[in-house]
This record gives sequence, structure tokens and C-alpha cells, in this order.
Amino acid sequence: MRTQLHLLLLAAVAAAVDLWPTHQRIAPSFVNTDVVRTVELSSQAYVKASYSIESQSDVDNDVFYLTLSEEEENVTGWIEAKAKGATGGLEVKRLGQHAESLAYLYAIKLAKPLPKGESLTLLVDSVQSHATYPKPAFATQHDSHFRVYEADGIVLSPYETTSQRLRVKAPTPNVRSYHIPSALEALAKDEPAVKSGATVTFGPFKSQPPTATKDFDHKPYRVSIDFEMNIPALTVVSLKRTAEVSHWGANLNIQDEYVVRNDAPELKGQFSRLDFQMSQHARRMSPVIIPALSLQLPSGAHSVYYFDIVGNVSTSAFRPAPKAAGRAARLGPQNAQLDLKPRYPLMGGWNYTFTVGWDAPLGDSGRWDEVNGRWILAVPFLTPLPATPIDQADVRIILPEGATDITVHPPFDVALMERSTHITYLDTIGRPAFDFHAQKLTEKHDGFIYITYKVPTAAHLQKPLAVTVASLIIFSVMWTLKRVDMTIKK
Amino acid sequence: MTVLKLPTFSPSTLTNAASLLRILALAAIAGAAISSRLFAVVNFESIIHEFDPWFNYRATRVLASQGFTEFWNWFDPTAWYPLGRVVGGTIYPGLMATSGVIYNILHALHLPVDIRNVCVLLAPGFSGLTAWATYMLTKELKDESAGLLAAIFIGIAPGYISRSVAGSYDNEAIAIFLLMITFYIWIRALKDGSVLYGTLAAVFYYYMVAAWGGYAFITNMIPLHAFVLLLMGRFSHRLYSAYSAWYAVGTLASMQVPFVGFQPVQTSEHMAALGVFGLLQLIAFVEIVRSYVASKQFQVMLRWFLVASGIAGGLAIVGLTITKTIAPWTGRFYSLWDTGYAKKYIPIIASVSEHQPTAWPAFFMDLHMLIFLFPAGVILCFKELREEHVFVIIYAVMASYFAGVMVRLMLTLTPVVCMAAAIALSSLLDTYLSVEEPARPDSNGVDETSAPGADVPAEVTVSKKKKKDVAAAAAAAAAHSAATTATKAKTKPSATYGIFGLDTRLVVIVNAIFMLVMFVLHCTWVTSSAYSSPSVVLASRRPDGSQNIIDDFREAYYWLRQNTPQDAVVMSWWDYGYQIAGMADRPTLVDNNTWNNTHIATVGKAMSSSEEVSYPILRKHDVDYILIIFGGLIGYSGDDINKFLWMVRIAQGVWPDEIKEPNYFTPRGEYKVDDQASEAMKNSLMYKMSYYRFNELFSGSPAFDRVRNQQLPREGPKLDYIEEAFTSENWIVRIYEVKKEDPLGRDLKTANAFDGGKKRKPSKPTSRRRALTA
Repeated sequence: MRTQLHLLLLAAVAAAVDLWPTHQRIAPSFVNTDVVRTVELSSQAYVKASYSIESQSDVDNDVFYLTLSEEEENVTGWIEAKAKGATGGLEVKRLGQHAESLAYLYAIKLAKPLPKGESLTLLVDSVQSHATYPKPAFATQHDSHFRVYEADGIVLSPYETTSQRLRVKAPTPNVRSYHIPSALEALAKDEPAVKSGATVTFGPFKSQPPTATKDFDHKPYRVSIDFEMNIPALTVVSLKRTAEVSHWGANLNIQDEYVVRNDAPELKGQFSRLDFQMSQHARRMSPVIIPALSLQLPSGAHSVYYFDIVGNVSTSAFRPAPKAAGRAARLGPQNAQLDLKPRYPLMGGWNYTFTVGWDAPLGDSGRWDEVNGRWILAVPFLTPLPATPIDQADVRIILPEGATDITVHPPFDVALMERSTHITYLDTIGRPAFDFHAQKLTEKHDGFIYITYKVPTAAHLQKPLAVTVASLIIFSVMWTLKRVDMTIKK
Repeated sequence: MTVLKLPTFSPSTLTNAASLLRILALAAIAGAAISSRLFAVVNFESIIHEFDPWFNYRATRVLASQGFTEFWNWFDPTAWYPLGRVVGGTIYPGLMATSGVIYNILHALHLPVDIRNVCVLLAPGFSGLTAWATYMLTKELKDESAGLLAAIFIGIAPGYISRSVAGSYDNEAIAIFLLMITFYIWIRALKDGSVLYGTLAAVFYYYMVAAWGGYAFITNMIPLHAFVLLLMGRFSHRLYSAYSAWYAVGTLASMQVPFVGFQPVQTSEHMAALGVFGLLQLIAFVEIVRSYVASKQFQVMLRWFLVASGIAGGLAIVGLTITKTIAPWTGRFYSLWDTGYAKKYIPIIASVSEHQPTAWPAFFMDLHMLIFLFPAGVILCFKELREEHVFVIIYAVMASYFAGVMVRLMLTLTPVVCMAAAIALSSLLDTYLSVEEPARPDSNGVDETSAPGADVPAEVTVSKKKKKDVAAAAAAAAAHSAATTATKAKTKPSATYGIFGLDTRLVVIVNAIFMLVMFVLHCTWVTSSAYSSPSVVLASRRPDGSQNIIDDFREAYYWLRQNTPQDAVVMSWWDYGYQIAGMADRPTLVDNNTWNNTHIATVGKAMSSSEEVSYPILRKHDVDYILIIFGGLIGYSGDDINKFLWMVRIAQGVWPDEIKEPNYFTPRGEYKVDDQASEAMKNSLMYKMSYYRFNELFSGSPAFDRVRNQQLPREGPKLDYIEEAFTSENWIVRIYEVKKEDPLGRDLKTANAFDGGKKRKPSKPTSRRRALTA
């Protein structure tokens, strides 16, 4: 029997407690004196926004509400905030869609209430995945690839915004075109849009009343930029991680099953190996073709394996972490690197699946807490491929057989967490396993899942005892059979 | 008299120690057999090899994941597109069932072993069991020590390893064990006259029928053995009960396998067993009557009875054959008698390399020293000629013949060679390891005590002479020792035959040990270098000696799997059908289950015709992709151009008017791909697909085909109806996509020319001008 325990999610609890902001009009406690958003376009869009705010009231001045339009909310995978000049981030809470304005609400808890008249600069960093789309949608092996990025020309905010700008940095100066709608143009203080080098600046724009309202339609204010892309756009369509703890082997085994896709424009016509080999030879290969991937594994990783549905992929190379000695030791542990070469170069639109696994010493990620008599285990939620969005991640952590008193602390709000029993080599009652499911992840989501648990000594001995008893039974049955005379005729 | 004083132990100590040693030795032999088959896993990886195993693996996965009922009713719509294949009714399910049972047992014990690893390691595991079964059978023939020798021989003989390395997941993997255990139990049944053992033999026979088409070998070997025993006048009630039990239960059981069905009573291959069964009943009946009726009357009665039953039986068989109730011999069977038969009438069978006649070096390569110990062992069998020895002699004769006509049947020869060689070597060792010394004959005339060194040349001649004597005595002693052990008699105090002195013993024993060591080295070498390649993955050496893996097949199959629609139909030559189904998971037109010759010929025709002719065929069969193997770049000789003539021949068998083999040769009768290649060759789809854009790789200098060692024409082929879709890293696998019809309704060639900016050739105006002048 499988007992499935649906643990209540942190987010759900938070939503229940803080339900009211999404249904109430937000008090105009602040004014955005200056908002500068800088978007760095790469395989993902990295948005660095700075909100200079000034407090307008002495009440409700400890929480700053950030709002995103539906389009931006759909692509935003990670969001973090901090006050300029301060160390340490501020707590950002996703509250969901606002009932009236339909904008998506985030609450930034300020370190201390901001008294009326004082100002502060908030730095809000977010990562947008799948925020650009290829144009045209098809390209040959040799073509340059262009993508289009669209963004809200002016920020949605429940507060008045005095001045704002949007700066978009393309990866190359080759920006084919950019578009600013006439409605937005009218709001510009002087030149509505300026391109210099690889950067296009929209604005600054004139003062705006609160825009996160029912009456304001942000759609006519969206700007777009059509730029050349020379960075591969890989997407992890799904990632399944299984982490299995063994106390007998003092080992943590992690296995990742990846489904990846090259999100570059789809290959027009057919793949020509000849052209590929020639361009490879002449070092003129299109930058969006992905011939290899590299994965940073923990420093203690060993016994690495790499295979796919049809077997071992013989083209991978594993570089173990250098031995910590001398200068290297002072630098701290370095990562081991796994260079993977997919069976075929990934052209635009091509898929590939593979499985990577490795062993690592348990001491690197588990600690024995002597005070409470518990094990504390830290399992990374994912091992990110650099600058690659992960659409769906399922992580399963398998604890030793007989583990009790388990507490689980995921690094961020996961959509779903469940408990089940996993039965593997010579288990008698099975091992407790925890599944975490999350969507829309970025490389920033590589935090640790902390798990604490107790393992009684008897549980450690369970497996050898079971095997011993089974062998004894077999031997004694054989011994008895050997000594029973079963002939009929004497 | 003894040459050496041996320490004495109590008899019970000796028996216990011997039995423990035997168990240890058998365990070690099984270990050696299994580990020598793991070269493929160590050198490459745990992967399914070759072609047929991929299908077995795929079927096993269905069995393991969906259960036996689903597997039994499995209709595979992706094979033989668009016909499909009723898999449950067209396979021998024994192999998959075995893996499925092992898989389920392991999982019930909470050992979650991957089904692939079960499949990969099945053959090595069963080779351990084969060694044990061979030990048991040889023990019946001679004694335990011969049994152990036979076990180690079969454990590491390349002839058997070639079909049972890890990953070689084919029917033969378990069939050889079943063959040996069935024969062993048959011998036991015959010795004891036991119905229980006869039934047990039938059960294992049933397992064999369910596992391998080669079960017909048992179906004919056991009746032949019984028949020969009858001819030798060795009819006994033991034979009667053993054979009747085996035949009745075994035949009924074998008919439960759907693929076999009613064949045991309807085809000529199985008639011998039925005939011997009938004959045994007659003779048993006659024996009973003889015991009740007086001798004179019996003679008369017997004559009439035999004549009548003979005529009746003969007429019945002839009648049934004429009315086609009994199917005549199949073509595959004929090709065993006439090696040229298949090439003439069933090219599809002849096109398989393992169906070719065996080359002489193959015998030495697969069996090494066993091949010359083998006749000695068979001759030693004649010395005693008990029933089981008769069996081995018949088996040796039959298997030798079959191994000679078909490479593949080397496999059935290997066990009997191992047994016979073990008997021979064990007899030799028995003689020379025995410490007993015969009484010195007085007539020898050699003064053993004469002073040494006095006359050196004389001594040399003496020792030569002595050696000759020794050699003569050895053969005799071998037989003698066999006889003594057979009767379980202790050695007599004064033997008349035997070996003198320690030195002669040493010479022979050291020699024997040397040969055994050479045998082990040879087996290891052959196994590691020749039989452990998965053939899905190729290995080559880099200049610095490190191993370079060529993984083009999996690269291309995986590309198909990941980047084409799930229902895209792939056409390839039938060799790759199972691999495409297993690795790429896409529908194929033809595969290694070559049941439909016309379908294969259709593919052959599409490959060997010009684009214009092939295109309608391709479109009618919904072909989306064509996959070919091309080795010209890196020199992989098993490619499609080298197999091309078989495609032509098989297509010619069905369309003799359209495809003609001579058209593909140069006027001088050579098979060429260069400038001199014939027009039919150059225009064939296969040629075009193989060399499409190949010369561009050589950037100006003429392209060179490394397999055929020929320079290609300067102008490469052009393709109008298909386009290149994928080419693997070393160009071994090339995949082409079949273009859809032109949306404007043009001929694809015209459309292509238009896209290329060429003007359509004015063809009409010339005739108009002619009309004007007329």
C-alpha cells in the first residue's frame, strides 16, 4: 500500500494568510520617482530593475507591491529584490493575480517601514525564460538567427511613476529593428527610443498615474526589438532527478534524466553533414548549433555515467575536480566537469534525451547532528546547465530504509510535494521517498532541499539480517531435503 | 608396482574430497564460462548485439512491461508496414519467457535489475548451465574427470562463445543448454528405461521447441539413435518405454507452441520421429507375440505381418504426401543437402552470411585442438559402444556434416566435439597419470641397469625405440583404462599394459598441459578479438593506440527516434529492420523476420531502380525516410553497396523483366562504382544515395571509396525525388527523406530544375521544325 501524503505548500499557506491584498485596492503608500529597467538579452532575458521609491504615508509603508502584466508573469521564472546599498535580499512573496486590475502581485517586505518623505532604491532582478521568439521561425544551417523580444514599455505599478526608462541590451550590435507604439511615443519626454551600439533605450517617459488598475490597458504600450542571436538557446523540457542516500556505502547517488530541445529557429530543409563538417572545420559553425554541453558536478563526484535510451554515449568526457592542495585548497572546492557530446549536433528545433548520474561521498552533503541525534541532508534541487531554462523538474529523494521523524525544507515554493515508498535492492519494507514537482525554473533555482531524519540502528541492520535469514532458510531446506529419503522402492 | 608412492587416505575421505573438488571445479568452470563472455561488456558496454537480438529484446520488454497475455496477443503494426506482424504466433517465445520469468523473480526478491541487463547476461548465465549439462552427459559416457574436461571445453570453446557472448540475446543463448540437457535426460531415460526420465526429456524438448527452430535437430537425432539401436539389434523395453514416453508427451507438448502448431504431424521434418515411434510399437508387438507363439508359426506370421504393415505404412505416407496433408521438405532443409540450392531458388536465405558453407580455417578457429582430439574421442566411443556411445557417434557424424554446410551449425557441432575431445584427453591423462606400472616384459631386451654414458648414440636409438613402444602402448592403455573405469573395477595388481617410468609420463603430461594452455590462450584471444564486438558499435584504434568508438548506427537511429514523427515509415534493407524498430522505434517496411519475399523484393526493386521508377513505389508504401549504410568514407565493408547485388537478385526473382542482374556489372563482368560503372548501377537509387555529395567532401580531388578501392566519377549523383535528411558522423548511416508530390502538380524533377534556375529543355520545337520541313 502506498501512502501518499500531500503536504501543504508553503505558498498555499501564505496565500491563505495574505489573501486580502489581491482583493483590495492597494494603498498608494509610495511613489516611484524613477524606474530603470535594464534587460540583458541572452538565451534568457535578465531583467535588472531599479525602483527609486518615496514613501507617501506613515501607515502601510513596510510592504512595496510590485506588479507584472500577464505576459511578463508568464515568462518570469525567478525574482529577487534587495535594497540598494544594503546586504542581503528582501523577502519577495508572490501573491497571485489581483482581482481587479488582473495584474500579478508581488509583495516586497522592506527591512523596516519607510517613513513618509524618505526614499529608497529597490533593486529587483528577475529572469525571464522563453521571453523571445525566433523570427523567421525557420532558418538554414548557415543563416544568421534573429529573435524578437517584447516587453511592457511602461511598468505596471499600483503607485504613481514619475519617470521611467527601459533599456534593452542585445547580444550583438546587429539589431534589425525596434518598435515603439505611437501611444507610448506620445508619453516620451524627448526622444522616445535611442539605439546606441547593442543597446536600445526606450524613454524616459513622462509621469504616469498608477497603471495597475482596472482601466489601464498595457497592451498598446508594448515595445519590441528584433535582434541577431549568437547564443545557443537550449531548453530543458523536463528534468527528473533521483537522489538516493546510502548510509552503508556512505554515498549519495544522483541521477538526472534530461529532455532537452534546441530552441533556435527550426532547421529549414534538411541537415547536411557535409556542410556541418565543413563549417566545423573552418570554425564558422553557426553559434546556435549545440554540439556539446557541459555540466558542473559537485567536487566529490565520481563514477559518473551518461547514457540514453539506446545505451552508453561514448563521446562524453569527465574531468574530476582537481585535488585540493596548496592554492587550490584556499580557493575552496572546485567543481568536477562533465563534458557531454550528444549523439548528434543539436540543430534548431531538435530534441535529445539523456541520463546522467554520479556518486558522491555522503559526507559532502550529509551531516550528523549530534545534539538532536539526526541526520541532516542537503540535496541540490538541480544542477543547472548554464543559462538554460527548465520547464519542468521532478525531484525524488530516497532516504534510507527505516528513516523516521523526517522533516523536509524545499529551497523555494514547489508546486507539489508528495511522499511515497520506494522499494529497491533487497528492501523489506521499502524506503521513504519524497517527490517535488516544480515548473518554470531557471539556473537560480539550484538551492538545496534540506531533509532531517533519524535512522535507528536496527534499521541499519535490517538488510543484512533479512539476507542472512533468507539464506539460512534456503540452506536448511536444502539440508533437510538432502537427508530425507524419497525413494519409493527399497 | 608403482612409479610413485602416493599418500593413502581412507576411501570415505577420498570420495568426500573428490565430490567437494568436483563441485568447486564445476563452479569455477561456470565462472570461467561466464566471465570469458563478458569481454563485450568490458570492452564496450552492456548492450544488445547484432540484429535479431534487438527484436528479442524488444519483445521481452513488451513481455516484462505488459505481461504474458498481452505479449501472446501482440500484433505489431510497425513491422512489415503496412502488413503488420502477429508477433505472438510467429516467434519462438521460449527466450523471452525465460527472461521474463527471471526478471519477475528478481523483482519479487526486490532486486530491481533492468530488463536490458537480464537480456544481456542471459546467454553467459546459460553457458554456465550448459557446462553443467555437458558434464552430466559426458559423465554418463566415461567418468567424472572426462565430464569436467568436457565442461571446461564447452565453457570456453569459441564455437559456442560466438553465439553466447553477453549481449548476444538470441535463441541459441538458451538452446544449447536445452539441447545438452535434453540429450542427457534422454540417455538417462534410455539407460534406466524410465518413463519418468522420458517424460522429463519431453518437457525439456518442449522447452527447446519453444525456444529455437533448431529443435528439429533433436526431433531427428533421438529417432535416429533409436533407429540405429534397432538396426544393431539392441531393441529393449528400456528403449521402448523411454522413446514412447518422450515421443508421445514431447509431440503433444510441442504442438502447444503456436508457431509450431500441427507441424509435428504434418511436415516431413517430423515424420522420422513418427515413423520410429510406429516401428517401435510394431517391434514391441512382435516381441510380445513371439513370447506366446511357437517359433515356426511365428516365422510365417511375422513375414506376413511385416509385409502387410510395411506396405500399409508406405502407402499411407505416400498418399498423405500426394494429397499434401504432409508438407514436403522446406527449402531451408533442402539447402542442407544441396548447398547450391538456396542460391538458385531462395536467394534470401543464401544472402545471409551465416548460411554460407563453412571455410576450413573456421574449424580450427572455433575449436582449436579439440578438432583433432575429436576423432580420437569418437574412436574411443567405438571401443565400448554402449547405447550412449552410439548416440555420440551418430551425433558426431550428423553434426560434422551440418557444420560443414552451414557456418551457423558449427554451434551444434561444438558440444559433441567437446565431449569427444574430453573423452580422448581424459583417457590419455588417465593412462599417464596413473601411478601403476605394468610388469616388465622379459622380451624387451633393453638392459635398464646398464651403465649410463657409456655409449651415447646407442642410448639415443634405444630411447627412440622405447618411445615408439610407449606410443603403441598408450593407445592400448587408453582403451584399457576406459574399460576399467566403466566396469568400476579397481586396477588389477599386475597390469599387462601401462607406461614405464616417470620421464615418459612427464613428457606426455607436460605436452598435454602445454596444449591445454595454448587452447585457453587461443580461446581467450578469439573471444576477445573476434566474437565480442556488438556490431552496433564499432571500435577502431587511433594512431596512438587508444580505442576510438564509432557509434554511427546509434547516432542515426536515435536521431530518427527523437526528431521524426512517431509514425514516419522508414525503408531500409531488411538487415536493419529490427535495429530500427528497437532503437529508433519507427515503422519499417521489411525486417530480419524474412517471411514475405515479395515485400523484400519490393524494397530491393526500389533500391535498385532509378529515381523515377522508385518514387511511385516509395509513395505507395508511405515511405517517409530511406536509411542506407555507406562505408566508403571510413572503409566499413559491411555496407549496402556490397549487399546491393543481393537486393538486385531478390528483386529479379519477382520482377525478372524489370531488374536484371547483368545490367549492374560492367561489360567485362566487374562490379564497379567508378567511371566504368554500368548505367543501371549509376542510376540506381542505392548508388545515388550512397555517393550523394560524397565528392564534395574531397574538395576538388577525385573522391575515393575506401571499401571498393575505386575512384568515383568526377560528377556526383543528383537527387530529385528525395533529399538528404541526416548523415552520421562517419557517414556510415545516411537517411533520406522522400519528398511529397509537388504542390503545383509538376514532376519533381522539373520542379527541382526550376528551383535550380535551369530552363526547361525545349523538346517540342524540334519536332515542329521537322514538321515544317516535311
